[in-house]
Amino acid sequence: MLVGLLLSLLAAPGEAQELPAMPTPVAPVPISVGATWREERGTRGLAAGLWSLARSSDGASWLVGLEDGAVYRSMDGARTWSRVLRSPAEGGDELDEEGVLLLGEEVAKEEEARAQTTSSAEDEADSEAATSDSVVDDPDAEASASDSSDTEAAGPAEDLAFPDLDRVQSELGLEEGAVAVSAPAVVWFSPEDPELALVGRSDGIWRSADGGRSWSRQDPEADALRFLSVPQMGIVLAGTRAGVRVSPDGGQRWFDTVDVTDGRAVDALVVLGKQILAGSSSGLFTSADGLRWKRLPMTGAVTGLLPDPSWEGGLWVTTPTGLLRSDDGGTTFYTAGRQVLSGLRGLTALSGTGHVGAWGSDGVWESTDGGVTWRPVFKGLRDPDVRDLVVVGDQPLIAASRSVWRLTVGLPDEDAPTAATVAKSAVPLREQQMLGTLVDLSTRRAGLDLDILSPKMLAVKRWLPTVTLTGQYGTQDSRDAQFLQGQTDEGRNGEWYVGGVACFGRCAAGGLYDLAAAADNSGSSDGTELATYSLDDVASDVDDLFSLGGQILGEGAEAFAATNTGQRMRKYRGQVAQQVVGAWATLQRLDRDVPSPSLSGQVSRLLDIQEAEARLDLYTDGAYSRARLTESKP
Amino acid sequence: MTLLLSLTLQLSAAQAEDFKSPEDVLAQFKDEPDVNEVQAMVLDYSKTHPKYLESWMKAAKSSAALPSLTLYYNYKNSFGTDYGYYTPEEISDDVAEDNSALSEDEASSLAFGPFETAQGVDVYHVGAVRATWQLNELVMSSEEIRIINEAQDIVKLRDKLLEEATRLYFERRRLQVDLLLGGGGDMRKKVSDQLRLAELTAQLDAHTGGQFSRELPKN
Repeated sequence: MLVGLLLSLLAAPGEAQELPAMPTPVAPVPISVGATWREERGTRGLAAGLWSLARSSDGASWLVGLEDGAVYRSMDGARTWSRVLRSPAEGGDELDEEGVLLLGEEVAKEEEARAQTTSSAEDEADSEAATSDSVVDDPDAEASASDSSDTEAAGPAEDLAFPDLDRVQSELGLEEGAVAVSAPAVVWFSPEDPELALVGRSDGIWRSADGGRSWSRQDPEADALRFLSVPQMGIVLAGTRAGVRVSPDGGQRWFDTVDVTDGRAVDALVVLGKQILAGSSSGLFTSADGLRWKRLPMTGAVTGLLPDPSWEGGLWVTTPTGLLRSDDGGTTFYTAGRQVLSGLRGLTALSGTGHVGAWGSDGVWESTDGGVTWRPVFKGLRDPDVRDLVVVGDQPLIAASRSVWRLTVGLPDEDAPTAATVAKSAVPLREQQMLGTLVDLSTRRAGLDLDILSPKMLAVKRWLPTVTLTGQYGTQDSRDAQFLQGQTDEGRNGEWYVGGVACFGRCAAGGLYDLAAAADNSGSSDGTELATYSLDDVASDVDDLFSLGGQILGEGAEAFAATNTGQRMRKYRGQVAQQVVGAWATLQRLDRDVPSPSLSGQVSRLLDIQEAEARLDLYTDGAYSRARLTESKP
Repeated sequence: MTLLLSLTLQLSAAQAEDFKSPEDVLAQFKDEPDVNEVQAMVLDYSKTHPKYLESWMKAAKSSAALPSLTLYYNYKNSFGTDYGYYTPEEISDDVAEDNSALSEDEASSLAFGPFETAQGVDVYHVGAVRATWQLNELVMSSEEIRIINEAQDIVKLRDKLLEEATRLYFERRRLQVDLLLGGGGDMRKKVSDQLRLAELTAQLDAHTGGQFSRELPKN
């Protein structure tokens, strides 16, 4: 980047060049220190696993998409949920469209009339409903849903939640579950318009213009996996299972972009500088206008993209096998991070320079050094299969496989406790830092340090040669007596040499020696073992020795072994971290507990403290005691 | 066992009123090994101390810096003797004179021998040293991955043993405190508690190779 800047200055020496404004570095504050995941129980009783999560830009609405395609909405900060779109597998999509429309209009009128008598706030009929394939409405989601299971079970609440489809379905005589079509629902809110929401699923793209309350199907052709708003171009893009589609009017009409992305599942879309990037199942694509796409050199599967806000052209890419980084807008990549992070599904920027979060089948991870080292954000998370993540302020919420989880300690958002509550209950920062250090120490003990299993090292290893040096010394003593002439000749010959062979690629030790032996043939050590090698064999050995094919990152038994070892290690590190946090939390609790007035109670508390400290020592090789000792010294 | 029972009974004689603070109570056991010492005993007995792992890892890393050496020596003795048949003239004048009566044809067909005419010996000594460095092993080797795997298992074993020893230690200490402060109680419970104390001591001994009991005060 610096070189580019200098070149641009040289190109126009007479013009005053304004240096691009670089973000001021902000020291990141780890979100994992002292934070605990808490389950939002409102999503516990849902019929299917969670798949995606979205929050409107004003925070008023949340949407969660399920694995079976159903969509739920929350009006109270993702605590309680009401269903707003049924799963395609439940047969709603298979209804006769005219019948649905007619019945839908009737029901909508009845609903409207009923709503007018109960709440003036809900009486605005959605004008788009009249032109939709079908409309479902959840006018009382905000008021009625205190718990999702209650919502499902209670008759009146369900009636209010799904007035039209239930009636339409029963009147048309369709059985529930008649059509077993099911695919995850991908939910999305426009960053610019808090009322505009989109859902992508197997039966098409659905749109809501009222914050997710009512929905209409806009594009039955597309099975969208990702949405992206590009306000500077006035378009919304959808990454679908068959390429990129574009909408010029906020998702009302959709058009296919005829290009190289066709037929590819596009699962990631981001704006990076002046270009739009699309990550697909078979590589990365770039476009300047969202309509015409061209392929970038990377061809592997991409599951997530994140531009680096602190580096122009900086980009992180998640792949099924790990995390990659590009510093030049996606042209070239290298492996990011010292750890093997597999199963990642997405990335998010957190506050602070180089502060990045990642999530996937192995939980949530954060890095405060630009993705070089990662640590798990695990405390309290019993469901590490994370499908989606939304950050509010610095407080992440995740859609795990079974429910929504919230990281409770962090910068306040609209749902966080008041400053007074935080001040009263928060653990002192020094103790939080201590916990971070202890977790770090416990998971970096000899035998648990993931840094030594760096994929970068494995890649480097493949390009280092096997070097063989050979030194040889030989003597020949000879005596030749000619009796007839009465003459005897004696002689002593000697020879030494040093040779070397460097073998790149897959070198077989035997072949290497043989090659060295062939080289030795130039000497006069006739009759020695070295001389038995035939030069005819050399050519084939050279071919074999210097075969550089297959030098691809991640291939080979060692890469598999390292990955396997890394996975086992990561799993155990998580358990160790849990133990350390548990012991630390016990200490914190004991510190705050009011001591028992009885002597035996006080002794018991003292022993509890000693045991927790001993357990911290156990997992940190005594570092906890050493730290406390240093602390107590004046 | 007798030692433990007597110690316990001795401690049981104390009254809760005799202690001013919880530290006073725990000070009754100051002659016993503390938990850090017990953990050290466990590490020592189980040979799972981190220093072993560190040395393994270091050895695995540094071993690649050493080459694999091949030494060989080859000795060869090549010898030969030439034999020849000669006419009298070729041998010497004396022999020629002794055979002067022979006609020229007879003399030419007469050959003496075989005689050793020449002898040759060639002795070869060839020695060679071959050193091979697999430079890629310096970065990461299969051996190293195997040792990392083993080290991981050792860490798990160590954590498990230390967890168990720590748990046993504090369970035993709590029982001791109960016996110390509990005062009365029926005989059945006392005996039961003392048996449990002996059991916990034995379990700690099992984790420390008997070192724990050896470190307990004799009186």
